[in-house]
Amino acid sequence: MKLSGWTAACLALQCAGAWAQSNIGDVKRGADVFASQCAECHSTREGKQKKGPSVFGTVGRKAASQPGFEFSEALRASGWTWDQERLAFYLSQPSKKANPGSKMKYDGLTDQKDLSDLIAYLATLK
Amino acid sequence: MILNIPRRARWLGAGATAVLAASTAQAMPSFTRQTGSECVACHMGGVGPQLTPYGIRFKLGGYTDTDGKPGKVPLSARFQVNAYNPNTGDATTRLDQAAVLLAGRLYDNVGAMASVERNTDNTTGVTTTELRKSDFKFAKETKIAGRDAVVGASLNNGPGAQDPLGTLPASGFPVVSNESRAFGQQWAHSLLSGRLANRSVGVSGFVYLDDHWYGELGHYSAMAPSTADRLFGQDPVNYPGRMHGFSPYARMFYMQDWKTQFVTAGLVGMQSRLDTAQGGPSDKLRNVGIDFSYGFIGTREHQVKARAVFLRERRDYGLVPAGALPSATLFESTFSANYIYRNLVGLMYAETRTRSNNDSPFFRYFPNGQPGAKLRFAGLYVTPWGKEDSWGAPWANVRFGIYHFKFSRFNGASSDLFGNAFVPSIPNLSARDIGFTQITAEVSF
Repeated sequence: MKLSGWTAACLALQCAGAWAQSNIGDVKRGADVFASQCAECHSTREGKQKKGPSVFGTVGRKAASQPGFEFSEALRASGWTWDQERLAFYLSQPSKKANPGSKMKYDGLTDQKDLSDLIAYLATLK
Repeated sequence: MILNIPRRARWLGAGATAVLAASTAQAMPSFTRQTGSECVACHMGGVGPQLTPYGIRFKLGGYTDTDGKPGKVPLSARFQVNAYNPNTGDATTRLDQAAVLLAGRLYDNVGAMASVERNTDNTTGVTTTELRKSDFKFAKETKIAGRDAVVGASLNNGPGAQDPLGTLPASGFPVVSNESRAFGQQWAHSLLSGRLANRSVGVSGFVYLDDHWYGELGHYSAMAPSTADRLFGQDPVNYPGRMHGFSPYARMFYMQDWKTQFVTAGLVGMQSRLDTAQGGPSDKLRNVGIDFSYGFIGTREHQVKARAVFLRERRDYGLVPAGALPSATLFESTFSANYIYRNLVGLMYAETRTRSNNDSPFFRYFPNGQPGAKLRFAGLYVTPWGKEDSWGAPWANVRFGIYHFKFSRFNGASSDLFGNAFVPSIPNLSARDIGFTQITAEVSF
């Protein structure tokens, strides 16, 4: 089947929209995901450390660079920056597998919707 | 958390009523200061026990998790004021409890929760200083056959005090055990529901595997009455009896944590030989029990916690007078349910039953022949603090509660509980007469 130029353009836009929708999470829902998955060990307040470091300002920050928390050697040596793709990689699987030697004990968030919502929420914390 | 619950009823003479004494459980601000986590991370509702899986792992890990910052002092204090309004008798209000607690990390892999309490007995008004529910733990993460494991050991002063789940009678919410005492010779609780609490010394080792499976084996022994009295403030009448030989304790459970909800299922067992109050050969007591719990945590806006515990104690009596039975079986069951809104307001309902096959009416269970009890209680409590942004965090926590306790059976009967028909000078009290309403304020630092 041959598509007209107009139809092809519409389909491309639809696909882009669907991709964007799947990757731009729901911030409000992301806050709920954070409350159930992360809040025991992480605070959203700047400089407030729990068992894990504060997640304030995490997105865009170099891994293990937050002052006031003693990060694992493995995370310090990773050279990572917490962009959205790296966060998705790290949080979508057991942390011991994503970064062997990590202090974090987390089994991973396998639901893609939850993951994108969570990362969208984290991106607002700055 | 702290909730006054039925623990014993005593015959006091003319005009007396059956009254109920305190038992405790806590959420300690020193844990909050140590970990940086708020009270609600470990406790559904913000005050203990009602442990979340995070709290279960904290206890299992020997109370040693920290935020990595030095200079934490593992000390807390707690006060509880109660106002009682019994169905029969006078209303009272007083400071029932003041406690200092060693609660937190003592060394890298060693932590404790030990409570020295000054309690007022609401039957007699006598105040004592006691070492109550205490647990010193060593715990270390390791690998066993390539699987994640926590191995450790506990030194504690009562079976169940060390249990990570908080579902057993010694540490569950609400803590329920009935001790019916009339003329100094009636007992209606098992080894695992309080008979040995604060009056024994236990050593155990445990393994927690794959974040699911827990197994523990231990041994308990009882101190000499004079030592128990000195350390735990136990009067000799309450002394459970010397424990002879090996008194094994075994516990296992499975936990599944889905983050937004969790379930646990466990088994517990214990066996001991105890001296009888009357002297002579010791009684052989064998306990087995099962327990279940379910928690819905969600986003912590609406939370639900339910638990059920069933215990069975087989008693083979050492001293069997003519006409008395040589053995008996005691059954205890507890069910409780809690709903908590935004870690601020909680509603709870619980019921507990104790029953036994017919025993020896005039030797052990005067006058009704068995020590059965049935109690329902419901309550409303408010925990305004305990959250990350609460006033006073992480230095203080507080809870206010109102609870109503209703007996439909006690000492094996629903009317004439203590034998007015046999001894006219004994007041004719029904089960309803010994119910009461309690208003509680508890604060910890």
